[in-house]
Amino acid sequence: MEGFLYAKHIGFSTRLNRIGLVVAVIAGILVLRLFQLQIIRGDRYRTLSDNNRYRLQRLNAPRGMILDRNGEVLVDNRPAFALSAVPREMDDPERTVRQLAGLVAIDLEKAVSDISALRRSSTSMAMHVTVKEDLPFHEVARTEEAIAQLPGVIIVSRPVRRYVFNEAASTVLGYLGEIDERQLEQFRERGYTLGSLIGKTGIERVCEEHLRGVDGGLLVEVHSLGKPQLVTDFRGREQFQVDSLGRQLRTEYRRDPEPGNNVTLTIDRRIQQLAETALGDATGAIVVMDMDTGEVLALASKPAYDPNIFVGTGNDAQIKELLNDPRHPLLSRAYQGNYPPGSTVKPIMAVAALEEGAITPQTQLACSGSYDMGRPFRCWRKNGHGVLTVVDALAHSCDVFFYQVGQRLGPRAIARYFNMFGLGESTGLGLPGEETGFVPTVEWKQRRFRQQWYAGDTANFSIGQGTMLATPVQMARAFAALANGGHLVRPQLVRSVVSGSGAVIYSFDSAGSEPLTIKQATCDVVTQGLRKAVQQDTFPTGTGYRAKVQGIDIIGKTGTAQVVQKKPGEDGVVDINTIPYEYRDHAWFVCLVMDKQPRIVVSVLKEHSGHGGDVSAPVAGALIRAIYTGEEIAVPQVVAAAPGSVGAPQASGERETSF
Amino acid sequence: MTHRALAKDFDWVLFGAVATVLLAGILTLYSASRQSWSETTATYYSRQAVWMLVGFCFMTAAVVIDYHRFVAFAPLIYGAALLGLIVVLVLPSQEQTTKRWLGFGWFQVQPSELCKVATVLMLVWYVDAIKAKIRRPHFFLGVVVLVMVPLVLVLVQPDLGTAFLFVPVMFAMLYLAGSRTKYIISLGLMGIAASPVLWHFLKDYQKRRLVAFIKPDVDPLGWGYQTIQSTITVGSGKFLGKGWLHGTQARLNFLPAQHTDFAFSVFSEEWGFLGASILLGLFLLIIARSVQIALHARDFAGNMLAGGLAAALACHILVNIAVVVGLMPVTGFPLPFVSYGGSSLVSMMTLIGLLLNVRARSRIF
Repeated sequence: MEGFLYAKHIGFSTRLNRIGLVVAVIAGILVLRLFQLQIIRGDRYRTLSDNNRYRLQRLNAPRGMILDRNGEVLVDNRPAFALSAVPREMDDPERTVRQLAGLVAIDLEKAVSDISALRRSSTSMAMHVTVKEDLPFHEVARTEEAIAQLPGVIIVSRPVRRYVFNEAASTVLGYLGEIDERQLEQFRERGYTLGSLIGKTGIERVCEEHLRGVDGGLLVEVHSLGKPQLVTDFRGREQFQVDSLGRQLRTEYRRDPEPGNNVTLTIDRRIQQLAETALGDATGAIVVMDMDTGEVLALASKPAYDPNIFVGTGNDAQIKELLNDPRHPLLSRAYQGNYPPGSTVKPIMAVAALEEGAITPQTQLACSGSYDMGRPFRCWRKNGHGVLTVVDALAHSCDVFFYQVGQRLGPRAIARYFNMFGLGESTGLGLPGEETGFVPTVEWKQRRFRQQWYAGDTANFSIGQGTMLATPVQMARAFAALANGGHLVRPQLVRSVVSGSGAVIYSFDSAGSEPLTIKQATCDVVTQGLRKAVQQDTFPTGTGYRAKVQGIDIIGKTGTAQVVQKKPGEDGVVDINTIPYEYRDHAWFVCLVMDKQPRIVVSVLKEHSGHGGDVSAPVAGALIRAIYTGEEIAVPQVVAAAPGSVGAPQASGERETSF
Repeated sequence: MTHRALAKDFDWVLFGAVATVLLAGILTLYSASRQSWSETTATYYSRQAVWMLVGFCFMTAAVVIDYHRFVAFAPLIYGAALLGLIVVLVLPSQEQTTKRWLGFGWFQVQPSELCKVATVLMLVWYVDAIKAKIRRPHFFLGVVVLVMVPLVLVLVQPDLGTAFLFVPVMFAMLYLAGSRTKYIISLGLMGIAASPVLWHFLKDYQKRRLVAFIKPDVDPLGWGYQTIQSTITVGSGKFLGKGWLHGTQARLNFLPAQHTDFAFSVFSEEWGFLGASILLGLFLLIIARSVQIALHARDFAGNMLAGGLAAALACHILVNIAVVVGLMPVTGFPLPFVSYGGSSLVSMMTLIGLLLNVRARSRIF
């Protein structure tokens, strides 16, 4: 139908007119409303806008607490007072701030610039800026005394964060800092304003949404002539404000703040502190994890720091020192430290070899101290181990055995098994900045170095040296899979999240484990080897002998990660004290406790400390004893072994070896 | 079409009304920026003037080129607008979670504004193509789909206010296109039934906005505050207003976003009931003229184009003013021709251009 006629057919005019009528009616309502506001209520509103002002005061919500698995409080809030300025009520902000600086130690320039920033901002709803947090009481008193001469200055109750155990678990817990501009733009809708504190690292950051409560507010009518003072009613709530002449003003609206939710971690405070003590002054990490559920009982890293220095203002010098510390205490070696895993990969190699049929549990291979692959690749034991099965090879960490196994498997199969056990990928721990280690491949080497993969690369690969990297958490997870029936668990840090009123918002269940397609029989053989490594007490003892604890079934593997090749001295021994710190090997020891509940995996890494069996194994042993006996930890001194002594591993220093 | 003929059928009344409103807008913006301490808002009125020139160019183009060309190219324009919406969502360089603007430094474009006109054009194209078939459910739904796509894209930004605007325009155009009334009513009922589901998808702060509107004391810090302040501002104008440049509410930054959504507040404060009524009257005049143009258009496409644009105009104006006087929850979109906003200004002026276009060619030769 032709357009023009169609319009007539449907009665376009009528329809449009009807819509027009609706518009007219609505417009009429709007006019009536204008009349109501401007004529009927006009006087009242005029008065309101001329003579009086509103002050919007933010009532900060208490942040949720962080607890350990047994309900012990790790992080909570303590009451504190903050000094704030309300730019709107200041006629001469600079003068007032200068006066204030005479009474109280404040950052003058920052205060003035923050006040100007708030004045310049056309969209901020905030009405006050924090000049100083956590005022010492004498400064509160001094300010209050002079408050009449300081227009626009107010003291606000603002609880601050308290890290109860100072350095313990600092890299897990994290700390708070002021929100930066970019985040403010992003999260403005969630209620953050200039000067809000937000979790920067660790659990404080990961659980920010849970921990942060909802701020409340107070909308108060402020008389332009008066200087309101706060009066609380019998319930302790701020109700009425009075001006300097004692006249009551109204609290227009009030909304109570909602406290944040409490987060319960899987961490056990006692075990965490034991682990940190066990590391002592060394740089390194210890991970203690439930091998069946993945709950992380301890995630220790040294050196550590005290998050309390980030609370409040005035610790800038200390913070700067911390940031510039060459030992990087803010990093957690447990999940951010990448190290060559060394011999700790041998159990995985054993699994690979058995599963792929490269060897059987009975297969015997010979180690004479070196193995010829074009050039000789040495074993850590100069004179070799003789003929061994895989169980003994694990117990004594024979390199030559695994060179041969590696040759049979080839680099692709090796990489496949490493990846299967979670190396080279994120563990799912959930903390920001997690490193994922590295598993080299043939293609990678071609791309990166434009070289083909050589047999020597496979040799290094087989004993966890070279370009391969792993974190202590990854190793813990891999070992857990060996012992728990072949499940790759996901490390869990958060046990539950509960609101202030007790409602459970999140509760961890033992979900998230991938079953590996390996035979239980294979795992049994490997765990036998690990058991022998620690518990064999007749000659020759295993490399992990120093981790042995009477009455506890500990099984494990040592590892020594090479940093550089070292030249042996005249007698074939390398004295660790002659090597500069940065060139010393990293010491690994990863073990499992099989006969206690919960069954745990303990992963110990000490940077630049020497051999795993010498240094990390005893630490693990001491820690495990302390965990299960409830005693204080007694960390044995590391004694440099004399060459040839029973059971003590040779310090070899020859290239491409480890144990 | 000679230029003289164009000039004869040019709707000077409409143009005049728009020009007056634009003037009122600039004056208000100037006043608000003088009151504010903010250094950025101080330059808004001059930027608005620049945008007006840009808008004027677009408007001229919209008048001079036969509207049938626009309708013919509607799918292309619509597609480009959707692309703009998608780009805005996908662009990672955006730092805000509210992804509304494509920024080129000082120059910021809001694709959702341009999308409004594009969607109307698209609907006109579609409806003109199918005409009576709209009485059949499939084609009826075709209109709904054409509106839903940009609506959802805008909603995801998230921009609840602008998304909401698409709905009454859709209904109006459905009605004007000759759909069966019962389909329209069913659609409406389905929408109401679906709203609990939609509520679930709203973000927290959007929910709070709606709740704060009903009970302002629930959220004195947030949007309840804006509504309270706006009603006070409007009311304080009384009959004659405080006079130009004598508004106080904006000076004390009591009106957040005083230069955008709440421009009418500032105007009412300074020009009183008298001024506000006259401004409202001018807006109604604009709408009325648009309706006239729609009624007397030469063909169905012209009917629908003018009708749809008139509906869009009416929605914008009425909703914004309703928000300002406290009759509706804060939506966050601007008052045409008055509020600061380049994209809004350009799209609204283009809209007027199209209306003038239809009018100019409505004489049957």
